[in-house]
Amino acid sequence: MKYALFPGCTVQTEQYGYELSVREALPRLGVELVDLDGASCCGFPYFSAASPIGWRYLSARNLALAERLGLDILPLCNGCHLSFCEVQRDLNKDEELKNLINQTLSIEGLEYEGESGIVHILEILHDKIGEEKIVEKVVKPLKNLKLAAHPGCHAFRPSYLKRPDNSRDPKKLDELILALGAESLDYPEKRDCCGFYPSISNEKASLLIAGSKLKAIRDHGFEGLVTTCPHCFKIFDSKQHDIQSLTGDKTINVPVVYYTQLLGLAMGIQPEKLGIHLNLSPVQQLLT
Amino acid sequence: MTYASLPYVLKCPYCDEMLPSHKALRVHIGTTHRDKIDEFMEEFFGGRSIEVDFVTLMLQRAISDLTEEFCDQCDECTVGCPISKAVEGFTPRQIVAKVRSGDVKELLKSDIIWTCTSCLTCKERCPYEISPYDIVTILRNLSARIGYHFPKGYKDRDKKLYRLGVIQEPQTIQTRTGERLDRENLGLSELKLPSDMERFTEALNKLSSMRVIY
Repeated sequence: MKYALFPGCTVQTEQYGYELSVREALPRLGVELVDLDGASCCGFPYFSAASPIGWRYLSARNLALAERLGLDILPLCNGCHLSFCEVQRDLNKDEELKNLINQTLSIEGLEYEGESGIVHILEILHDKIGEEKIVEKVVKPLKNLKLAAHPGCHAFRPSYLKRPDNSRDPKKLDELILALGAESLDYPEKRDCCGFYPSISNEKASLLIAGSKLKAIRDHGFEGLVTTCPHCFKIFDSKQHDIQSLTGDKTINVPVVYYTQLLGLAMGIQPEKLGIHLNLSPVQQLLT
Repeated sequence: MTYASLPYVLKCPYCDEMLPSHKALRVHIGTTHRDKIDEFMEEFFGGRSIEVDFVTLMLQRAISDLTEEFCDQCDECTVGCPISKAVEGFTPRQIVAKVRSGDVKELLKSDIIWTCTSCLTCKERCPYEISPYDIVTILRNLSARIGYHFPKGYKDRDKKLYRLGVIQEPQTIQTRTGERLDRENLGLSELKLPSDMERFTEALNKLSSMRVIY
């Protein structure tokens, strides 16, 4: 298993815990990660708002870079993954658009043919590596921990595009949590949005949406939230003080971790190597 | 039956080339006859305020292309919308209603369209396969193009993208105990960003300046 790693803007410029834990944990499960030299932003959602065609160019450009290496691309962010899938669909069905993009790509000496696949980290862990192999690698089972899976909207929506998980009943992340020896129960709010995107234009709305999900998770008695999306992680992990101030609810205090951090811990990797010290939520509760 | 499935070809008014769809025609005109668009806009609309009427028409056409059975305001989209629960004055149903009645100008100027979370729940729930999400996306794009409203956070990120290839520089972050760390401290390698930023920018400028409505 060899993939072109595409961390995406948010992971590689601030969500270092995710990048560290991916680079530590995946190779131990037989995944070879190749850096994608010259990669740029995927274009979603900021550039796409100003220029839909510029967005398609940016995503196609990164796909073309992976294609040049002859590898499938592994974006770490749900938004980048959706962006690549949408653009791949658009270019494959619209020859004229593809020609236009290719004319422009030639400025940088690139070409898009649509030969590289796009894989999601949930697909690699759940479908390709599989829970059995993960169970074998677990040396420190996460016993007596009840964790809430938050796959994030774009891991299972929209259903008309091929997504990593089922839009009606996403459960791959839950099953991956179970493989580590922890408990993961279904809960009604599992498919609810984290609220991250409007944080740029309407922070209050974002905090209210994230807050209501965190509150539900606490009320269900979960001891932590697990995700694989850097945007969901960012708002849940780093904004709990703001959510407390806005809602006046000081009891919202939920540990938030990346699945790959949890995986690394269960595989016996030192917390520091997984960037656990970078999580701002009270994750020390999970380590004891 | 949807309009989009009807077989038709369209003739370019400027060079008589035959195109298979409205979208293909728009791309063709936007790339091959950009000067004609500029002339057309100048002659018929003169200024920016009137351009809104033009884009309203474009939007209405984009939406009526979607389905024959247009929205009956059943509210399924709004029931699933996280923003409708958090923000007063935002419901996908109302946005669709306003667009349907051609009342787009106010929406384009309002920051309401920028609060959508892109969760795609509305798109999944609509029994008629209308997508309020896609409508909001078109509205955002038109608003940004006309110069009505483009949130500062978006502008700043796009500027960085032009300069670096990504939306922000690698940050020095703070741990729970207040220690400040960057990529190097954490043993992460330097970013391998686009090596020739001049060409990267040239390509983006070339595309972004096209009058193509997607």
